Amino acid sequence: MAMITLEHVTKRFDMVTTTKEKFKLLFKNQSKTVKTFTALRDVSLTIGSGEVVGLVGINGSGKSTLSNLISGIIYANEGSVEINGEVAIIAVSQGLKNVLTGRENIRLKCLMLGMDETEINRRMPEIIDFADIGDFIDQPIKKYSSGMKSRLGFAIAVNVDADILIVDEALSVGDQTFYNRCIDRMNEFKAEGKTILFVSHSLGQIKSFCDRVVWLEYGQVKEDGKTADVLPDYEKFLADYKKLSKEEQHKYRADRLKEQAKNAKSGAAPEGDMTVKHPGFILSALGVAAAASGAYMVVRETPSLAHFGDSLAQLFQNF
Amino acid sequence: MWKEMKNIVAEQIAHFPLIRRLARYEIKSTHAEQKLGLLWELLNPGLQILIYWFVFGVGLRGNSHVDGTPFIVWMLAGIVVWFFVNDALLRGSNSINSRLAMVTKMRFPMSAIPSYVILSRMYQHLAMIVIVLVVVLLNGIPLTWKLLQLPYYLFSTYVFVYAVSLFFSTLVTLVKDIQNLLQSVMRMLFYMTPILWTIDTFPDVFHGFLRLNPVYYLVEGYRASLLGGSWLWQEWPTGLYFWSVTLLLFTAGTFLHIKFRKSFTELV
Repeated sequence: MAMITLEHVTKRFDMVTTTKEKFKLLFKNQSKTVKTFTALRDVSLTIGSGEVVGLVGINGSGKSTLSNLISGIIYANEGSVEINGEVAIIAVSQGLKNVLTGRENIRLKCLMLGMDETEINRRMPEIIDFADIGDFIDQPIKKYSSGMKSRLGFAIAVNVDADILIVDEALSVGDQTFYNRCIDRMNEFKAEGKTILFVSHSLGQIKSFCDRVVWLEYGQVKEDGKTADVLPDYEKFLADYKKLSKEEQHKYRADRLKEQAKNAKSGAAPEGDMTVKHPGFILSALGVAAAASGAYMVVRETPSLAHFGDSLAQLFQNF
Repeated sequence: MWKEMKNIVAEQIAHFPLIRRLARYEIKSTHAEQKLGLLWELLNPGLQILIYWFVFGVGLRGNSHVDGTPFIVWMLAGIVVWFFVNDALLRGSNSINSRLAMVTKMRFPMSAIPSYVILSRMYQHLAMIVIVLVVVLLNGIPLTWKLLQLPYYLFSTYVFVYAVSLFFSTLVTLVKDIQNLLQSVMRMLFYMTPILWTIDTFPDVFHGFLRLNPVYYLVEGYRASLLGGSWLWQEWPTGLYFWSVTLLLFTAGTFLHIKFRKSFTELV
């Protein structure tokens, strides 16, 4: 069964810098008024149940955008993203609240994930045990080291029942023992037949853990296939790419993007569900209702016009 | 657009258990590090009321009664709704902006954020209503059938605050300055609402215009319910105006919310 289906997905980010541009966004549609950056262009991908997929690519290739799209944190501008099941994302910054203690963060995070008290109390020891940060669990997060923070985040995420697990470079901060525990846990997930999307720059991790590799280049899928097939190609590319000078790297990027633009379908597709029809009619109807009832109310409570003049005159005399 | 508005209401109902649990957590966590804890929820407004009573009641009015009601009771019946509106509205408007970092790495129903923040203020509000009722009874003011209107005004208040919060929570996320503006406007509105002063201290020319402030309807409604005033249908023009404004804000708020909620996390 396909757990993740992406069809012709394009994701653009607004490059708004000024408040004026933000105001423009309020009234007009994206991409017509402000500069945008295309992070993913026409990506189609199907990931089946129980697949463990590694996502590779150099910085800026769209790995995080893709994993965020799949987790439902951001939305595609064009194309469709279909997900079957609950997604848990594990990333370096977990959106923990700095003033709350570790324990309170676990509680809040679980509450936000929709759990009730009994369920949270049941999971709490497991999570604390997995994070393994000792007495720090009752300290505010701001006193944590970056490793502790990510361990806590990881512990919460892996102890939530999810069908799809996305690991976005989260393992790079922990030490070896924590790393091993995570790998163990992820192997458990794998054994349970859960779908895992693994984003990493460590090719060793990918090689040992993933069955399939998707290689992204500047927002497009360059290669997709068995780890043994794709990874050597990527390694070779990396070696070549590293040898290039900075200018050559820039040129390479520009050439690739030009090629993409040439191959892209002409004429931008409609924005899909990113737009809502302007509620002009309802707004004006309600506006008229408010104005009419307001006017009637004021007139009703205000004494007769003649008296109105007198009162105003009196008022000004007092000045 | 009707579909979107129905969606927002449906989301509120579907996520109600989540909203309630988060609202409770919100209260608990705000007072977690304070010795007096939850007591502050009543101590804070209590101290403020004391000052207002002293300055406006004793100082300016010489503690004279308002239509046969002691000033403190009259003021309490009106200020009780103001505390809720002011607090919930300002927090609600900033709710999405201040929690964006929390929700960027998870899927969370955005329209539930203002509601749980507002609901967390509702507990304090209900407790204060009970206290006001006790004060009313202690002062020998008989409760009337008009008390039955209180749930209606409570509901109206909630809807109004939610509509305003939905509208501004999106705007504040886009342009942070709006929160500051809103704070100033609310402070002005407090003095434009007959909470500390009676309407007859103004020339009658202004009486109609003062009703253009939607909170007027709520404050007078609470007073009518708690102290026995007019029935709500006697106030129908003000009521009609109040609901037009509220629905206008709700429509515009829904539009902005739906238009932008998918890109909130990109705005961090």
